[in-house]
Amino acid sequence: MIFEHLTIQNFRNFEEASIDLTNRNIVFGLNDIGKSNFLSAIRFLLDRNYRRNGFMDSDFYDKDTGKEIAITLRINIAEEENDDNKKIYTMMGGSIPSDVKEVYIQLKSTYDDETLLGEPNLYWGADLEELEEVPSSQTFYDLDKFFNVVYIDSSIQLENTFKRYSKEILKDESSLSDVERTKLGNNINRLNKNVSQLSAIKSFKKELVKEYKKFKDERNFNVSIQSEIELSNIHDKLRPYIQDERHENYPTSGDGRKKILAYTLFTLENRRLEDRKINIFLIEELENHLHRSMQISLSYQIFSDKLFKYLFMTTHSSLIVSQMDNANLIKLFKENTQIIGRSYVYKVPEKYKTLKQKLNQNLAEAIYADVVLLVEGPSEKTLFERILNEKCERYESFGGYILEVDGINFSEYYKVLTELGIKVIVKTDNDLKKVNSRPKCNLIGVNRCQRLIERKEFPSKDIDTNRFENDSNYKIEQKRFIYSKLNGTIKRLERNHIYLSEVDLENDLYEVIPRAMDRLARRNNSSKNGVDFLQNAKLINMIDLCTDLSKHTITKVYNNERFKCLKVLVELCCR
Amino acid sequence: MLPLDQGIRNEILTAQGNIVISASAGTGKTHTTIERIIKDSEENKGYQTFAAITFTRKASKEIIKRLGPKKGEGFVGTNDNFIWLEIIQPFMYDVFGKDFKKEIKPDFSDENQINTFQQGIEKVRNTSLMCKYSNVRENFAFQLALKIIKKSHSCRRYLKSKYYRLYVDEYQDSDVDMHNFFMYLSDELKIPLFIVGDSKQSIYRWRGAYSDGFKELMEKEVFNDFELYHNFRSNRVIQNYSNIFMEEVRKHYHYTEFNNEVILYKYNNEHEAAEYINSWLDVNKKCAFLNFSNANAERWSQHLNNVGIPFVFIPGSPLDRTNLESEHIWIVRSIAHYLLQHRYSEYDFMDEIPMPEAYRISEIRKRLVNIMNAKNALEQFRNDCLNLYSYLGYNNTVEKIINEIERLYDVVNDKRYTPTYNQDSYELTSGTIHSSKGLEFEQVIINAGDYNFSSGDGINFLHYVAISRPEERLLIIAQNFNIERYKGYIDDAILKTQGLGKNIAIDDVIKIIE
Repeated sequence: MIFEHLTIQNFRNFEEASIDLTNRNIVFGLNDIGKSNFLSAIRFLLDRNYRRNGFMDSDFYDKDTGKEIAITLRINIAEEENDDNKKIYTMMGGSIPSDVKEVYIQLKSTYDDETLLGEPNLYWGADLEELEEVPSSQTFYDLDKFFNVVYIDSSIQLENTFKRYSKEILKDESSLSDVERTKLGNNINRLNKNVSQLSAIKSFKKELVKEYKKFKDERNFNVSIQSEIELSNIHDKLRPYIQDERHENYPTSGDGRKKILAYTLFTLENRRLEDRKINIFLIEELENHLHRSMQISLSYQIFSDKLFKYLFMTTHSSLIVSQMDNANLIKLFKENTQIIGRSYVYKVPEKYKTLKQKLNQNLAEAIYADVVLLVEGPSEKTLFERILNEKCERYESFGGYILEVDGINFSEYYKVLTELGIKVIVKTDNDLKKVNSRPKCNLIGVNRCQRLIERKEFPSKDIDTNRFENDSNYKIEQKRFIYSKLNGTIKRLERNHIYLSEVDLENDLYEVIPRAMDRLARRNNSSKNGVDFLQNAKLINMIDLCTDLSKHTITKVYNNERFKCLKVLVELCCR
Repeated sequence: MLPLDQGIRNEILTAQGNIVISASAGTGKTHTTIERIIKDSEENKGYQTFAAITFTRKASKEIIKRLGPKKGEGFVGTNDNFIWLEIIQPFMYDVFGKDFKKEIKPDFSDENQINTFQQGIEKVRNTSLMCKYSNVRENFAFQLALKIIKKSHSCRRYLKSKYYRLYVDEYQDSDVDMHNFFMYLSDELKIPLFIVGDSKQSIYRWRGAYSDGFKELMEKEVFNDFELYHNFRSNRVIQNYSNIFMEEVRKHYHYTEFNNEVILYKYNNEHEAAEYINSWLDVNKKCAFLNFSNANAERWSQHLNNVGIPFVFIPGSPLDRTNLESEHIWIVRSIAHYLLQHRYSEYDFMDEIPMPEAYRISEIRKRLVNIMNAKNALEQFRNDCLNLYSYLGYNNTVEKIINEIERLYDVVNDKRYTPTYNQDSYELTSGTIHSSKGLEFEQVIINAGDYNFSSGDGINFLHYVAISRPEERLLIIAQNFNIERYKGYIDDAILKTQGLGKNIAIDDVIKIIE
């Protein structure tokens, strides 16, 4: 079974949202953007307990009860040997014609002004235009026999979870042997007797009777106070303790371990249900109250355990998503006045499998932003942050983010982020690369940009091999020449927020603030010019330069065409 | 006391794959089926479930009752219901087109009769009603169900996904179309079957029951076959005596201590026989004198009353005669029960309807009450009965139906038939073998004169039914000119049993008083 698509119409803050799904979904976005409402839509659709109270007027978009709420889920059921598909075949029976690969489950509700409630009605079938009513008796739909929605709140409490679970442990008649039952029963009777005979209880009893008789003097009035621990309620008194190495009870007061234990209980409980039902996990912000190492270990568990194969998780934590692979990223955001969702199924590219951690962590940060500026490396990031610090100090809180690709292809990030509706700005160098054993060089900087917007790449250019390899000025000249020749292309790229340096960061910067750079070199007793000095030890020297930049110099860079990417970032953020 | 075939019963519970069980009456086959269903359901905790398919609604009610909450999501119902709810209604459209995406109702009225399969399809298309062939030996619903399964991938997938096993009862009554259907489920869909039947008991041959189908299963390689032979109703002596007369079960003869439980008594005149019966009879226990004919049954009841034992004559109901058999005879039979039998209600009537889902209890009750009130007025009675026939889908006032109703009128207005419908409340009865069907007696008396094995088909079968009926004691009376013939049958049975290598003497199974 594969979740494919969800549309939400007129429900809470969604007027019309259409979102591609897969089985593991991570939902993120700003606070109050509707992440919990997104999960609620799924709960209304698949969770009987949640659904049966119906919709209130406030559940309708904009409180407009004149319109119909519709929540529609599309599921792929083509894989015939899949156990969950077999459950769907059993569940839907004749509602699935032979030749279909996808089915819909739909909830609709119209508000009834008499009952002040929207009654939920469920439909399913293969043809969206001709769905059939889901067979039901009262509020129990056939679908509820097969779906088990596990909703885990961010405030998950170990005590409550355990209580629910411990009830299950002793529920069965066969959970206790006859011998155990008798032994336990005898002990409980003895305990109850002992409790009733405690002197404190006896004297309390006396006082009570005395006090009562002041109200009403009944000769034979008496009270007995009894302990009522019974076999049937001992589960109520069970508490989990974490034991340390010396087998001493460790007070499970630490939020982290308690939370993990609570998740473990949930897991255990639902693993047993798997044969009968399709477990769908809805997890809200599991990062709450968890140390980063706990977050990482939890997210590792969630993305590797088959039990969580159907997962919808809301989160603000980049650590939680850091383990993701083959997960659908769903970003909710506001466009004009509408909340919409964009999604992208993220698979770690084969060639980056070993770099997964790095790629994911960078990405995990960036996906939370609205505007991402992709830059080559730490030098760019240092300089740009310095400038922005001056020009738009709070750009990150406005949704801006600078991501250094640092050896990973721009395109890996560009694609994911754009698909999620994030505005991406690219700043990259005009790199050239010598073609092996031929007097030619590849325009790899330009072509990198062309690829991002799926334009044709340029062929390699003739060069003087000797000068290219030995004369750095020749190389720079070549770059300038190319830049000047590709005016139209550069314009088009810029329209797409892709900014190609004329040469590279340092050379372009030298065009704008030569004196500040030369001064830096001189101050460090270097005979090199500003460009060479900076390139000599990129990051360290850039930090040095940045600490020293005057407001005036910063404004110069910020206003310069070469560094337009910064202005664009600020404009997009603050819009 | 453990049954003799306990080992087999244990094996039945654990055998894998397809299972077929041949079980004679009284061997506890429903019990065995229930045990197996419960065991399977405990082992299949997943989403899959089972279907227990019976021939009659009564049988499925019995199973539902015995399973209790253990039924879970399982399907328990009649075979017609099973294919209607699980195959025809949901999947017919998948094979025959969107026209059939609609509610299809069962209906067995004569005007809906069809001659060819294609006619049937058109009938369903135009009327939304299930129909039947005019030839009772062909089963349109099952042919249609099989066609749908064969053509609908979705339907096959559904059944395979949903059921871990099907349990089918009374398989000997399946017709050839039902047999083909169940074999497809087993052979092609690989759904394991648990089939119970008794080829000695098929009562539906007239409408095409295909008992060869059941025998074929016993031979089939992919089926594990078992036989239950321990009769819980009768004691060992009775079992032994009845077993030696039937080839299929003769091998189950086992020596047991004989204390005159079976007696063959020779008499010269009927009064003498009645006197002997008086001395033989244990009046504290139920006893039935089972006869071939009503006349004999009545005569014997008089003889027995004359010697002071109050045997009540139970005349066979004219409504039970085989020449009346038809698709709708059950209606008058059930009306007779409703009018004559103590505590037989409209709910019991409902249970007799092949597809009760299509009808409303209040409508049935209204019509039955009308019939009851018109009990003494033929004209009104006939109309009220026709009204019920019509509600149940038989709209044609054909001669056959009128004839049925008139017979019914005679029966319900003749006091003699009151005992027929209330046999259970009498301790001592004299009736026909047929009228004693399904009842239990501690003591049974039969007349050897009734059994001339060479006079035709089925006499030895009837003899078996009669002698296996008592729980404790059997008395066979034989007038002097009949006794030698009957003794010949005993000798023959003993010889054949010895031929199986059994150590058996005549004194081990019967005491002859001459």
